[in-house]
Amino acid sequence: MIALLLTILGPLAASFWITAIRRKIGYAALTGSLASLTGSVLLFLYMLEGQIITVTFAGLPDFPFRLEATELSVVLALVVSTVTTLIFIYAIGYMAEEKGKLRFWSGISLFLGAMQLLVLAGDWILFVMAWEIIGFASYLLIGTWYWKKEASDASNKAFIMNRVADLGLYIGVFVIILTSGSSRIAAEPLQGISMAGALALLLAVMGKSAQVPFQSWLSAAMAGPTPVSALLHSATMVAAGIILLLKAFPLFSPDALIWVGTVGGVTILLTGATAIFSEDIKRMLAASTSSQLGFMVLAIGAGYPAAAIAHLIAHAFMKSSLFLGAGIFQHETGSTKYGKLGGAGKKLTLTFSGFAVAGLALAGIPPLIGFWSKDAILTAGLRANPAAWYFTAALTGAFFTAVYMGRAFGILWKGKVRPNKKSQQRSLPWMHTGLLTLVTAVAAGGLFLDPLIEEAGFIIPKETLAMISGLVVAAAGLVVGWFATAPAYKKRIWMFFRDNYQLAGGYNRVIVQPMLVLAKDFNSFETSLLKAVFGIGITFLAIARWVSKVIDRATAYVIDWIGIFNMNIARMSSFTDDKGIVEGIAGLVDSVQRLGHYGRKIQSGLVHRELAWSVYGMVFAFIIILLTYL
Amino acid sequence: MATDLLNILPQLIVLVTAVVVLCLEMARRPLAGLWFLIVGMAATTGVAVDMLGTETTAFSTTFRVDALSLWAAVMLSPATILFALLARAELKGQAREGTVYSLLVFATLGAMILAGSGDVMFIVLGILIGTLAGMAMAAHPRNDSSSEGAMKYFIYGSVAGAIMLFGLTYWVGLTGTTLLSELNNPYLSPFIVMFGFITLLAGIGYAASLFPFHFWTPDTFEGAPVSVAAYLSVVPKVGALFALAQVVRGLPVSVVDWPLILSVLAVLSMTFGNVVALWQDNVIRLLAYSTIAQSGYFLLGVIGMGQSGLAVDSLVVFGIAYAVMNTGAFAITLAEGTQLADFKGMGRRRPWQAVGMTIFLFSLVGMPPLAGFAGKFLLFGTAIESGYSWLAVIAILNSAISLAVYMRIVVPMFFEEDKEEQVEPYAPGISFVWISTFILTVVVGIGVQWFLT
Amino acid sequence: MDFSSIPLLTITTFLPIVGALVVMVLRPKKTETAYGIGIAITALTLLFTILIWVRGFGPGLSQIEEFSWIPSIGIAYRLGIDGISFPLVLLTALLFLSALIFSAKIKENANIFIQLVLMLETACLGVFLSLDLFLFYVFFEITLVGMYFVIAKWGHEHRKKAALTFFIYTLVGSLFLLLAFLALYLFSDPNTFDMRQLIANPTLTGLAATLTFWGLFIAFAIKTPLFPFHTWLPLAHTEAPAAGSAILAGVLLKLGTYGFIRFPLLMTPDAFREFAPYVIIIAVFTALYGAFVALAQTDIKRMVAYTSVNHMGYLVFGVAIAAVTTTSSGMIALDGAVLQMISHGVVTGVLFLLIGALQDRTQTRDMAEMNGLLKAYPILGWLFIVAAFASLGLPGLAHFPAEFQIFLGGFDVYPVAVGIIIIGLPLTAALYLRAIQKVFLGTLPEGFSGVSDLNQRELWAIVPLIAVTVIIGVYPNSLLSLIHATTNFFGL
Repeated sequence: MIALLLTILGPLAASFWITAIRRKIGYAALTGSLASLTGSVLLFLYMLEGQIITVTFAGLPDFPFRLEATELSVVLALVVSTVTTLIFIYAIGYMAEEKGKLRFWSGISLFLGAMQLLVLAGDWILFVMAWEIIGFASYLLIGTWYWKKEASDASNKAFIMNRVADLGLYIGVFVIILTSGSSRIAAEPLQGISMAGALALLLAVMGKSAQVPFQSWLSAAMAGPTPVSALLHSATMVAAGIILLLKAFPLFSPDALIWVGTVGGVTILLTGATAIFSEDIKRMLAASTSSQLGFMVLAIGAGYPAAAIAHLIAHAFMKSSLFLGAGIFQHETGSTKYGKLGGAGKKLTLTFSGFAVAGLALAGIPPLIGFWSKDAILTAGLRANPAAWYFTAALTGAFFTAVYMGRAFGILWKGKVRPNKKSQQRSLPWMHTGLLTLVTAVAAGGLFLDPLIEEAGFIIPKETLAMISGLVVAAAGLVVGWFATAPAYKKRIWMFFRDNYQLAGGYNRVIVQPMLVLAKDFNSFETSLLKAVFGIGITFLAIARWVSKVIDRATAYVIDWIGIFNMNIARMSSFTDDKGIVEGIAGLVDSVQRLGHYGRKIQSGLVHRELAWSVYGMVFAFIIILLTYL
Repeated sequence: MATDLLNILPQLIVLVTAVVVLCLEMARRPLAGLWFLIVGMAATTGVAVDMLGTETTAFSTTFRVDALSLWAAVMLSPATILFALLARAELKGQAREGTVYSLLVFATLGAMILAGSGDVMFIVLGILIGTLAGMAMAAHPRNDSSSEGAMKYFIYGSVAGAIMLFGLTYWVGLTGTTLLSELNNPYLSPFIVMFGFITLLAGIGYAASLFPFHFWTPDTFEGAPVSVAAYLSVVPKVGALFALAQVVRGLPVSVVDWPLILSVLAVLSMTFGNVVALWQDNVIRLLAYSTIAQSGYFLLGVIGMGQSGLAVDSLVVFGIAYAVMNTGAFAITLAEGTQLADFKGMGRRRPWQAVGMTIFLFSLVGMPPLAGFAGKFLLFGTAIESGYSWLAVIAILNSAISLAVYMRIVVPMFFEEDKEEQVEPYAPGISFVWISTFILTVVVGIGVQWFLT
Repeated sequence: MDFSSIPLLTITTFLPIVGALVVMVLRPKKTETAYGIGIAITALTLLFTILIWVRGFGPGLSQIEEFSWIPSIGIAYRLGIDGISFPLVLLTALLFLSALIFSAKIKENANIFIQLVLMLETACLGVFLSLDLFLFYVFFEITLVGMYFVIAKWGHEHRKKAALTFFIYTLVGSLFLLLAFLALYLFSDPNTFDMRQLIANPTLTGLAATLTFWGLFIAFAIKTPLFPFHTWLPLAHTEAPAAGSAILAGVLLKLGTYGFIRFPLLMTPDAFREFAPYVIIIAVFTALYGAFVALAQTDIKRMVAYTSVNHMGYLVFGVAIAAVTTTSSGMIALDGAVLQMISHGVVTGVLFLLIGALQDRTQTRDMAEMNGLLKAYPILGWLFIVAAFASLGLPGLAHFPAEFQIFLGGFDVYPVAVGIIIIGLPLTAALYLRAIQKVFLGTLPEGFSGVSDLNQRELWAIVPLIAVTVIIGVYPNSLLSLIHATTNFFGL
């Protein structure tokens, strides 16, 4: 219980402290992550004792929120907090030389908290919440340097693209809840979900894990500080997609899994190619992330979540180390372009060695951690159906991986060293601590991978054929890459690869512009609607004016007309046989004629006499009437 | 006989008052006349209030003593007092000031006779009295515009009266009697009844300034003293419409589909009145057209006669509400001036009066919880209950238009600045009138219960 | 003393108007004192609403206060509360307090302004609390008058036009409401204006029911507003003073949505069920329409105004779902819809207040003319970002639980409709992000000399609302428990 909350609330509390108190922010964040780490360690220990901790509290009516520390989630939580803590250590050094610390640290702590919430979520609604908050945090982090246009653009792009994909998550979760009648994330659900629901979830995964065609936000997200990239690309953000797949895996029907595998495979190949041809180390790493996540998706599609978990963990360590290394190079040379990075490795040998180890691991060189996880995936591919597709995709992907890593090594090492004036990295120790610890994990992690996964309740598949083939392609790829060290490949087709296959202008042209155009149309319709409403009002007023004019004129005519008509009536009525009335009428007609005759020269004195007469007449008549009833 | 006289006691008191006031005028004692008027009318009110609830007839069913006639007495007599006060404030010290008082009372008598008429003769009589007295009052200022107005009023009056008489003779010939109750006979020849009814409408429509018998209204109002215009906009109208209610109450729909005719008139009056009012820059003319519209609303109640339990209530409540709020509006107009421009910056100049005017106008629109709303609420209810929902819909759309009309007075009051002029207080009479009507406008709105039969 | 015997509801309702009278009588010379009175009164009102909560109420309409008014036509002064109306009462009390605190800077005719606002508060509370059609209508109309003057006197450039449009347009709506009420009265048996009776046994059937339903629909569709009756909204919201817009969007729109739940859903259920598909189509279209039009705005205040249209679309969608089905999904959707009222009230209220603060500083609402303001006004900027994300439905903030439930409930009945309406989520996200990017991100123009960041007064007005947003977001059950009990009780 305490441990569970500590894991999640630790970072959140830190984030709050940072925004509210604004002192010792770096260390506050670090404390938060350490709290999270201890929490997850405790959970792990509890788990070893075999107790599963769950917390349930009021959420929506009929759908309580629940946190559940299942084996899987505990293991993942542990990995997340470990990697993050190390990145934090590094970041204290890194951010020392950067602006926007406050936003960075509060955002990144929030990020960690949300990630832990996601990992430990025991019900789908809480999961969705964590999922979205992660998106928000990444928006803040990518936009850390908000005054840069590219940064704010990138953050918008990331959030909106994810938002679009998230619709899939919403729909999927609706389907799950409505089919099962409960929002709980069940390890062994009673019945699976419909194809539509599964595909909806897959869409969400593609968005979060930057699978084709959603991969472009990830490379744009490079606009953020390096630690952010390291975090986004390793154990958090993108990993969320895989975690969703892992949690939803039991719900998927075999034919739905085919689709999953397809997406994974395609992503492996396309983004792998992108990584090979990119001219920027961070962009290369970004593309590689998509590709590696593709491996995990593929593994799940093949029906071996164990392999995916293994690679998720391995990749978390490898990719974060790579990024941290890249960050140091960046600070050294003030750029991330291959063109400028030439030979940086020779200068910072320590960094380079760390980078190299991680890179080799990613390429799949034993006994590094990456070898084991990649082997697992290849095995999964072999055993999957159709093996042809799964295995080929995985193998080619492995080859691509080796190639772009080799290329990076080549460029970093071979290029001639530029003397760099502004090369004083005060805070290198912090950064190295972070980096090297991670690298050790990469180096030694292979040994602990199996038991860890078993603790999580899975068995990593192994096959000799997979090992051998994997090793071969890795070696081949590294060699190829080592010699392909031109900083850029300018051919059209390569640029097409490099720029994430911008068909028809990419995201901007395909999604954004049409939306804006549509919005414009709606708006012009709206304005005309408003005009119309006022138009009605105005026409109405016009009519009103016209009517009132006409009436005034008409009245004049009517008067004369009535004057004449009046007399005729009077004559007629004199034929009627009602004595008393005739008197009255006669009097009236009389006066009317006179009035009409004198027109305006009428004297009201006259009226007066007239009236006096009539009044007496009336009174008289009235009295008569009264008397008649006596 | 004695009981008959007792039954029409209110009307008798009014008659006496009228004569006495006239005599006092001849003695050139206008103030005394005013006081006597107040006393007499107060007495009438008292008696009528005391009689409320009696359902009977006088003089062998030629005069009806019922909710309509009694409430007419209750609402019109005090109203007359208010108008007299306004007239005092406006015409104080002028020659023949006193005649106006007596004429006021005479006209009121006419209205009260109309409201209770159970016999065509009473209708004729009431309209004649009202017309003559009103005409004379309208002509009081002796200038061109007033004379023209008065002349129009008179000509229309005589014509309408003549037409009405002409038609009524057929009724009389048909039924052999002048009693309205005799019309309640499904075997009468529809054509003649129709003819009679329409000509009757001419007479009554004129007095109530219903479209298309309203032509005299704006000019007469504009020419007449404001107090008289106010009077004409209230008293004869209420009387005439109540008379109409008395007529249709016994008229079998099978013989003549009078509700249809009336609803058409209602639509025309409401729409025409509001639409034309939109473009008046003279507040009196604006109010004149608004009275045309308001009498259109009245018809909703008349249509309900005999078909809806709410009909009488709606007529009574709306009558009271209308008298109150319209009087208030006229009172403030009398004090502020008859042009829209005169109201500029009034909110700053005289906040209280401005608020009062706003309340009166909103009440005319039918804003709750004011008197006008209570009235319209019942009127719409009547219309729907008697199956004229479409009429109710048109009525509410007209209310929306009327809002635009009255806002033309409200907006300059609060949102247009005017050079600060020295603010002289209202004449006591006017203050009394607008304050009392202001209070009533609110009280009637909230205390509707007291006015339901 | 006996706690249960105090007429809390009446006191709560009329406290503000009493405050208005106090201001009217005292005519304080210093605006500070005037606002002091006003704020104290509104705070007291809030306190009383909390007392109502403390006293507790059942799922059904409870804490009834009834006095005879016009017995001969079955009208009486009836007040009562339940889980649907209470959250709205709370919202009203809270929002008026904030609005008044925020507008304490208004110096011209401050006294009248305060009186109007207080009158408005009484009217709004009255609408939510009254259990009598007549009484309801009275309060309903008074809100128009109050709002008209607030806009017309203290609004921006085109205030007169905006105010008059608002007044006439919504008056038409409320007049239709009047007719519908009369129909409800005349067809009820025995004739009564007692809403409890009308809810307990809806007697309307056939054509009468249909006409009444559409009458109610038009009335509330104008108020809510739904396409195509929304045309009064952009102008009114844009031209009103900040506090006015906050109240307008936060509370006055809820009169319409509350009406949808209280009248068509409960009093003409069959007719509503019959026509729900049309209502749903309108709601879906409204939601997307609002989102798209908002996306195209350059005036930030106008943009937020249109997002209200979008959110109201979701809301009515939820209500319509509840009308279609009597299964639990309907209830889920309705819970969401009711919560949505509160969320939207708070969040949009905050947004309008923030924009008001922004406009006071930059003297413009045109997003093209602003840039990089986050540097100049960090607090304002961050609060705006939080509010914006709340408005675009970020979990952990107020809108998410509401919209999630609406869509979840709807998905069971009309999955396709949900599939379409849900597109509104990324759209709102896009439009808010663009706004944030244009206004707050980027670099400050050279030589920018801005006024200082949010001051104490503004913070006191805004921060509590933000807090509420977060509370609802992380602990929705706080309100949902009440709401759910009631929806359950009405068996929706």
